[in-house]
Amino acid sequence: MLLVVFALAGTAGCSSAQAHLPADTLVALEAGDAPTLSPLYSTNYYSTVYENLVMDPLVNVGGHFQPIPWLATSWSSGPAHLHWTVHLRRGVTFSDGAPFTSKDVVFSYDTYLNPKVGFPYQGQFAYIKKVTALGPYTVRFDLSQTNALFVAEGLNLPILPQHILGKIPPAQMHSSGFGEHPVGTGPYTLVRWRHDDELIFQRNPHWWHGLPRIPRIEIRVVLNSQSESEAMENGNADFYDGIPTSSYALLRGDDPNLTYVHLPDLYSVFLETNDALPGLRDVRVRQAMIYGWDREALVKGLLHGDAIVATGIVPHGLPEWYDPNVKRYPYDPAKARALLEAAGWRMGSGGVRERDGKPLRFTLLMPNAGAAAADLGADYQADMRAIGIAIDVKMLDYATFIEDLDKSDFQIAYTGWGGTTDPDEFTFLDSSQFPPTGNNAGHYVNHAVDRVLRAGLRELNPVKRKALYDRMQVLTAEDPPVIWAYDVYYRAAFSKRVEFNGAHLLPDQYIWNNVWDWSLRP
Amino acid sequence: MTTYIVRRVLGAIPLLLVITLISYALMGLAPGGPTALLTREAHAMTPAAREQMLAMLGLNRPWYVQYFYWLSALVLHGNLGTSYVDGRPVLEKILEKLPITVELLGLSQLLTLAIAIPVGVRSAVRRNSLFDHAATVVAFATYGIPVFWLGLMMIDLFALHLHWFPASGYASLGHAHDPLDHLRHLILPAVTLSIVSLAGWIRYQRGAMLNVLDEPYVRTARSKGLSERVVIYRHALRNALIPTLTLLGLTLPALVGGAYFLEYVFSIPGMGYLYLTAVFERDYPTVMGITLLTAVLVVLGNLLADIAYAVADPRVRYD
Repeated sequence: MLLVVFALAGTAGCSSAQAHLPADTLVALEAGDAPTLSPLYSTNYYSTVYENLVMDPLVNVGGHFQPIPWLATSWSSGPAHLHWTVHLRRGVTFSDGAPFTSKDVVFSYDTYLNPKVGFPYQGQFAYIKKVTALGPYTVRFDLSQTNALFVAEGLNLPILPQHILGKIPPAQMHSSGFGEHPVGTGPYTLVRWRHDDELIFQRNPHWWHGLPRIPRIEIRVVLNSQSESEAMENGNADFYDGIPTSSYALLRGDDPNLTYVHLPDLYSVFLETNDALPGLRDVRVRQAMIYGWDREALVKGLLHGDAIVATGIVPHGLPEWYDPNVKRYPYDPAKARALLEAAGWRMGSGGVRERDGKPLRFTLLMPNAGAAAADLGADYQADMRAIGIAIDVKMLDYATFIEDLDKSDFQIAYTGWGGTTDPDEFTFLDSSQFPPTGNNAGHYVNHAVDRVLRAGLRELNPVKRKALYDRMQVLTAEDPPVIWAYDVYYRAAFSKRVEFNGAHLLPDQYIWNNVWDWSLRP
Repeated sequence: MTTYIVRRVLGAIPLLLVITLISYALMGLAPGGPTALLTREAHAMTPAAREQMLAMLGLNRPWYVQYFYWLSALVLHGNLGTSYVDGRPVLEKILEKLPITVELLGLSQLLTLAIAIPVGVRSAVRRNSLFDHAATVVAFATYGIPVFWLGLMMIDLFALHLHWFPASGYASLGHAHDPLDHLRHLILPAVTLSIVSLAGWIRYQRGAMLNVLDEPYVRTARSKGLSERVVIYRHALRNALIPTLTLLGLTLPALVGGAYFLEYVFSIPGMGYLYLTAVFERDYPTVMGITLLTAVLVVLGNLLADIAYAVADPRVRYD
């Protein structure tokens, strides 16, 4: 009886393939919904993507991750770069018709920086001391200290509508509903949103940059990658953003109806060591832990060859900054063993090294992030065992994992970083940035690195700045702050009817940056 | 009867209080805090801004104080609070997802009854026959299967190998409002849920029927010369359905629990999906809202079962 019901329902539904996509609508697939579209509270990838369709920053990200004029037409600073004058674009309106002026800029920054609002990244911009309107289209930014990231990051915050949010007390911003009904000056407006299902955007007819070429964007939230792959293959969607490795292998190459995008991403995966522990403080032990790990095999096997073995803390996805000329750690278990011997760790009973009667044993903390992560843990465990280091793998749910990381309550942790377009790692590596002040949960201390990082944050000359971060990469390669594993790829697929300039595509959330310039073939 | 209902409803209030208190305590004492806003990147927050945000969400107080505030907002204003993640009212988030879960539960229950009642009756009527033994064996074999594991196996067989059904989700692209499409997506999880609950229902229906078949009125009906079909289905079954009605209320907790896990396994964006996501993000207000709603449903289910029992059987009186 069950089988009969099954067969009936099964055949009844088989006709859903090959839908006709509307001529004016780009159907995009994303693997997740955004909790909120309020830039004041978004810490989520999808929030950033959808917000950027609706809102504009003063300065946007260009094709080589360089800052380009957006709502700001130009900017200049005094000798110490503490006072900046920013000129705003004229004739810009919000999607509801209200004009954009310096009032909105002052209001936006006052709101982001007001502790009562609870903007999660407030500390990152706390160096912005005061924002003043010098006229309707001129704004002055006073900084408490020089910051090389001011233009690229500080001026990249989405501009909020003062005429809407100005009425809301700071402490009530979180529950104001703006995150559900955002208003901005951006290329699109949000017209419908059904959570975990779909978001519909309509182009903003008043957009200052010109009319976006695609009238409508439908984002379908698909919570399962198999359905996403099927939708692409059946011609039910135009764009699949951020294809996971497993699905990319299924889709790869052979579908003539799809255009594939495959770019080195801005993210690295690594194991963070807690250098406050005596065993891990010794650089020879950390070096041995990289030499002894066959990362080539990991990438070829577990990752289907679809990742790059990492060579340092700047990922391959930032070619303007990535420095290949640093100390490398090819798989060399003999060298790993020699380093451990030199550090005084002698092979003990049971194949685990010992020093002063203590075994060389660490716990690898991992968030419960699925089979792939677990396999990586097991892979590392096996390779370390071969050189005499015992690794216990401990899985935790994400919330508990983050809490332990924040308290530096770990020995080795599976984690990663990236997403930023600048090589600055001050809060992760500077010795003044141990939690709770900063992100240096691994208690990495290298005063030469400190000096370079601090200088890099104050240096605005691009040539000198590049030299500083090259130096940082050389120093950190010799004294590795983490056990780097691999840099990931960004993957996407387009249907053939989408036209875009491939040379302008950037990975990850930046893929959407030029959506206003994409078009649909009839 | 009215007095009975009032008494039962009043009696449920302390029960619900205890349930919410224990849930809040478990959550508050568990390691890890809300992650959605306070992610690791949020370390770029100054300690002062971090404190401010915790204060904004009321997280700077001990869990029992938080519970008190949560409870008073609920009792005084009927307010379930707003989510930490997106600042939306919890009730709105729940109501958005409720229909999907109700659809799944309803479909599964319908399937279960449609199979369990005839099978149970037939097992009773042909007691110790091959059919009876087979039904018993199958029932016990499926009874112990963990629902999430069975869900994965169903996906593997019927979606990945046979391609009869979609592996997950609630609607195909562009079919958000197509009931047939929903049905196609919900069949696998609904059948999974039915399979694990079927055993109880079949055994229960069989037992109830056996009890009734020995009653004098069944003998009377037979001796009147009525056909066996009429005796079984009109005279015996009517009475044998009473215990089954009770079961409807009593199995609700297990059914809801199973549905929640299956929603996660099948990526169906219903209440269970919302619930588990909220648990992982430590979104306390959403977790509490769904816990409360589920507890109310369970208490209500029990009450309705007792009332249905009284209505169906005139011999049962509550005074």
